[in-house]
Amino acid sequence: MQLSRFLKDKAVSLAFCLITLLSIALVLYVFGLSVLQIVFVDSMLLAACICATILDYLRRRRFYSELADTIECLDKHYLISELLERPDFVEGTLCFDALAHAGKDMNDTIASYRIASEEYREYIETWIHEIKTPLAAAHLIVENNRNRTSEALDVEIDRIEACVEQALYYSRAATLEKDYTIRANNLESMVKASLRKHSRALIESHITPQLEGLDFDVYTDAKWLDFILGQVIANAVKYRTTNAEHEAVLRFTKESHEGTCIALKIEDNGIGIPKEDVSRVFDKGFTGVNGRSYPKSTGIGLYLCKKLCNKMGLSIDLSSVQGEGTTVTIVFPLDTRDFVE
Amino acid sequence: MHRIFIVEDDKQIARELRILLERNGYEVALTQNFDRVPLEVQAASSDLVLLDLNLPHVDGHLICKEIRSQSEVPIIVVTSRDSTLDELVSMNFGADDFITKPYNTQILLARIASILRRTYGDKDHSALTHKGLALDTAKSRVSYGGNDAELTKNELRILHVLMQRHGEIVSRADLQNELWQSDEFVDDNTLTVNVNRLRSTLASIGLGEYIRTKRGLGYMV
Repeated sequence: MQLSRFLKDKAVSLAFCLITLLSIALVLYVFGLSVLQIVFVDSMLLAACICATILDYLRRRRFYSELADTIECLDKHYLISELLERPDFVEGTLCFDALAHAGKDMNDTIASYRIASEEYREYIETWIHEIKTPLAAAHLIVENNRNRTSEALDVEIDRIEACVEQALYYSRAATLEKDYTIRANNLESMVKASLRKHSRALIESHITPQLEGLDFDVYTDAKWLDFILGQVIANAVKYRTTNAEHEAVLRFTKESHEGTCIALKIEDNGIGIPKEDVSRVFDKGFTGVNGRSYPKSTGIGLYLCKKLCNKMGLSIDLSSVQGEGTTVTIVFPLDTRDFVE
Repeated sequence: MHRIFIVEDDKQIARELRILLERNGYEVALTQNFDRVPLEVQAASSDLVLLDLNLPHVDGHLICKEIRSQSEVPIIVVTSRDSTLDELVSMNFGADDFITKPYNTQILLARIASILRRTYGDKDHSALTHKGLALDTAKSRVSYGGNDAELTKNELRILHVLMQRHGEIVSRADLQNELWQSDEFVDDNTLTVNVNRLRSTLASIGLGEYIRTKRGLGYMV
C-alpha cells in the first residue's frame, strides 16, 4: 500500500483537520494570544494529527501489503485467508473474516464437487469392468458358433470394446489421481503388442507395419502407451491412402534428440490432414475436414492421447502433409529423475 | 486328457468356456458351490484351474491362496480389472498366469496349453495328424509315409492353423493374423511366398496336393 494512495483516501478527514486547525488559530487570535502561542498550540495539534495518521498507515500497511504479496504468489487464490494473520484494526478484521468465510465456503464447494466427480469416476470404472463380462461372453459365443453372422457380430463387438476402452481412459485422464506406474519398458515389445491387438484392422486394410531400431527402454506406463498407440494405429487405418497403387505403410522409427530424450516416430502414408487443421488436432471435439468427410469421428482420440502423455510427462506432436501422410512423434524423456515427484 | 476346473460365476461364460475347452480336447469341471471352491478343486483332481477374480461373496485372491496352500495345481487368473496391483496380488497369492477380459480365445488356449506343457511336460498335445501327415510342433517337423522335413517358423504356424481347422476354409487374413500374433508382421506377398514354400516342402516328402486353394476365400486342407 503506497503512502500517497493512503493519504488520498484520507484527504477529507485531513482537510477537516486543517480547517479545524485554522479555526482554532483564528479563535485564539481573537482572544488576543500572541502569534508564538498560536503557532505552539497549532503545532502540537498538527503533530498529534500526523502521528495518528502515520500509526494508522503503518498498521494497515502491514496487513494489506501482506495480502497483496501473498495473493500474487498463490496459485489457488481462495486459500488466501489460511496464510494471513488476523489484523488488529477493525476494517481489517472485517475484511479478513469475510475472506476466511468465503474461502471456507469455496473449499467446501470444491470438496463436494471433487467427491461427486470421484464417485462418478468410480461408477464409470465399475461399469466398464461390468460390461467386460458380457463382452467376453459374446466373444466366446462367436468363437463357438463361427458363421458369417457371428463373424459380422464379432466385428461390432470389437467396436463396442474400442468405445469402452476410450471411455475408461477418458475417465482416467480426467482425474487428479495418479493411477499409472512409470517403469522402464521395452519400446519394441510395446509397439508389437499394440500391433497384435489391432492386427485384424491393419490386415484388412492391407497396411504393413515396419519397425526400425526400437529395441530400447523408455519410461512410461505400458497400458497407457498401448492405448495411445492404439489410437494412432486406428487413425492410420481410418485415414489410409485411397490410392490403390500405393502400398499403405505404417513406419515406427526411433529419433534421438541430443541425448536428452528419445522419440518414437510413427509415419503413415495416408490421406494426411489439411494445413489449417493440423494445429488443432489435439483439441477436444475437433474433427476438421477429414472428420467431417469420414464417419464416426468424435475428436476424442487424439485429445486423450495428448492428455495422457501430459500426465505421464511425455510429449506428443503431429505433423502432416495433405495427400502424403501423417507423422506422430511421441517424445520420452531420458532422465528418470523427472518422475521422482 | 487334461481336466480343467473353471471357477466362474457368470453362467453364460462358464457354459461357453466349457464348449470351447471341450472342443479343444480338454475335460471340464465347473464350480458348484462358491463357498467350497478349494475343496471342489481337490475333489475334481483337476490339472489346471481357471479362476475368475470377481466372485459373489468371496474374494478371488483368497481362493487363489487357499487352493495354493493345498496343492500345486497351476492357476490361471481371469479378471476384468486390468490394474497392475491386481496382477501383482494374484501372482503373490500363487497364480501362474493372469489374463484380462475380454480375452482373445486363441491366447487363452495357447496359455493353457503352454502351462500344461510346462507343468506336466507331456508332448502329446504338440503333435497333430491329418490324412497321414504328422506335424510335431515342438520339433517343428512334418512327416509323411516315412519321409520327414523341417519347417521354418512361419511354415509351421501356417500348417498348424490349417491342420487344426481341417475341413474348413481358412482365409488369408486369418493366416496373416496368426503370423502377426507371433510378431511376424508379414504382408500379403510374404504370405503367398510362405505358403508356396510350405507347399514345396510338403511336395518333397511326397504330399503334392495337400493344401488346396479356394480362390478368393483362402486355403483348406
